[in-house]
Amino acid sequence: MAKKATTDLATKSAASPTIKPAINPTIHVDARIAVGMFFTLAGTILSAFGLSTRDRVDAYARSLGIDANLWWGLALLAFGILMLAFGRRGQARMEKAGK
Amino acid sequence: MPILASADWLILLIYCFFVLSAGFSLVPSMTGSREYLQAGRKLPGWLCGLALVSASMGSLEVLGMGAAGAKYGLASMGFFALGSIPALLFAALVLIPVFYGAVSAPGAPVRSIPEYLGLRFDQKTRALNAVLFMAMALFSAGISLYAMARVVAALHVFDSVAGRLNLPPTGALLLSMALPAVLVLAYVLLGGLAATMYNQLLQFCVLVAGLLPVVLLGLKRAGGWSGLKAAVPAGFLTGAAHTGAHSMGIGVVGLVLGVGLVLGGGAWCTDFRLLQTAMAAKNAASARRAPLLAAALRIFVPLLLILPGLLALGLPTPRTTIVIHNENGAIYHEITVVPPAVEAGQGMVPAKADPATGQPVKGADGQPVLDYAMAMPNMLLEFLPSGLLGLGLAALLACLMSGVAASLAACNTVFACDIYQAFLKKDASDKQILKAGRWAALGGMVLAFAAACAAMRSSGLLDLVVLVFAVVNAPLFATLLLGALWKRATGHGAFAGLLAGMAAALLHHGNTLPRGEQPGIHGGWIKVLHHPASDLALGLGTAALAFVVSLLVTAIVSVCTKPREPAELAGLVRASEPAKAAWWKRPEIIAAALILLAAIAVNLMFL
Repeated sequence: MAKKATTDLATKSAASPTIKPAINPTIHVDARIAVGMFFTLAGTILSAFGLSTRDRVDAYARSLGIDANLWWGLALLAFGILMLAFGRRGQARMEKAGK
Repeated sequence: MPILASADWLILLIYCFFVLSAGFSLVPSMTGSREYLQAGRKLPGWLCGLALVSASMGSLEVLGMGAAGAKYGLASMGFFALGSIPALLFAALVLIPVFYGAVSAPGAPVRSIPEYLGLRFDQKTRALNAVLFMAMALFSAGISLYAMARVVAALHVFDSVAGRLNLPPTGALLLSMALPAVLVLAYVLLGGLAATMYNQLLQFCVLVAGLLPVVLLGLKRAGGWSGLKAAVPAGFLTGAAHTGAHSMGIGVVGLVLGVGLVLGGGAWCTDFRLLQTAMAAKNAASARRAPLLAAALRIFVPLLLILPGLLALGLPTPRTTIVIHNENGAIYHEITVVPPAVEAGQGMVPAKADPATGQPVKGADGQPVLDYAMAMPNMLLEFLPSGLLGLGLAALLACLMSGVAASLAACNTVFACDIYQAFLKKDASDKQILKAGRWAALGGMVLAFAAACAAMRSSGLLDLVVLVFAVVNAPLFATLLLGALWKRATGHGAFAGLLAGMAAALLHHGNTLPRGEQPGIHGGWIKVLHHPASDLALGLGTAALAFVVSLLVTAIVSVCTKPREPAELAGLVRASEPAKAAWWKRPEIIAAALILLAAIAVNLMFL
């Protein structure tokens, strides 16, 4: 398989042989970063929304009078920041190992 | 019915944006077919484990767990644990190392289960399994697309959008099938298996984040554990394993063998939609860690899905009410109208409504037939305030997408390796294989969508999923088991075993009919010889028979045919590895034992 790919490279893309090695063939994004970003964003929006609607009794009748947006939003925000930190660390480690 | 507030839409849109961006961010990594089809085999074990759990929680499974909670109570937790944990531990200790370590050529590890079958047995077994697998995966992808879209449409999520676009009455349903389908197709085309698995991680987190508040609020409303106990039928919380088995109409032995061995093994040790996640791990130790992590999570995750269903049963049923109040001399009538099908339901579980009249559907005994699949989604609406509701709906979409994407990613691998490269164009270059994989994803989505539309027309197709599983996965589990463990098994044996298992499953299904059902899609389409107690009992019986027949036929035909040279089988059959340490010192065995003990302890606590 690897042999076949190199012969292809030699015959077909002889014009741009220098570009090929520049692309890192590894999967180089730490998956936790996207998760962290999503939950940081969603947590911020939810807790901001919860804070602004805190006084509306009718809005939180469903969640038994608890401002679920605010509290769950804060929990998700904390989770998001944690994941972001882990993801960043993992990414840095991966790049170090790649070099 | 509540209409989504702008905060809900915002959360939903952000979620969709992140799902798509995972696809886009991985485009630069898709340099070759192995990067696309196998995520380059570079993923860490924890990610593979979480993706494995998420892949196993497609819309059918998630709705099914909520439904089982409402129908059978907490005893169904034991059912799900039995159907996953032993099989996952077996996969981790025995089968995954074989599948992961098999190579077709130096530096070219096996990419799919059919490819493994081709190496271990022969090309005809590979072709048979590849075709059957793709048919099964795309059919069930279509069905799960429809099953969740039906729920989303029943929650009136896209009604306003469909109304604005002047779509016909089924427009909201079509829209809730088409939007997730397009999203899934986009990220599978862009980032292949890697994007699928990255999104499965996000989807798992969103599922927990969206459902945990429902469970907590529901328990608070029901008055804690003791309040819930008082509100649901006796035995739903305390029922020992045998009561649960009894209400499903199967004995304990049938439960252990049928669920633990055949259903569990057929899914977790055989199904490439699940195994592909472990096979994308960066090394053999990570590949082994994936099912172990999945097993540890599967101890608790069903609770998150079963409890909402159970709580739904315990809450008061919404009824049409008229409140009259007097204000400054004027008399106000406040009328809350509840559809008759909802009113006829039990707790928050509505009755199935006749689509033409809206009246509840009555069963043979005159009682309304309950639509258990709506139990969990109704709980989202009941407890989540606007804002969090968006996250809850994102969780429903997440299960839908992770299941469909797993099918699609598995199908494009199987098509590119085992149909295109193996039979259509044997000298295909790496670029051509990559292209074939992308075209297969597109074609697969079209077929799955067609299956979803067919299911929309005749809802009986939903029940066919169990039969398809029994026909495809149960015999395959037998052949894979023999192939991976027994050197003597031969290609002719495997091929004959697969065919015989399928035939046995079809014959059994054709000759048995669950009590109270009409012959046809539920069984009995040849001649009714036997009446099992329920659909579930029939499904288990069919799968177990297919497994046993396939096992026997494979073994007998193998013994009668010429064995392969032992040298050819090196790396394809489990070898008794030279033990590096005593078995009780090896980490994977300790982990497996701990998980098993924890699973037993948790289930004893609730039963």
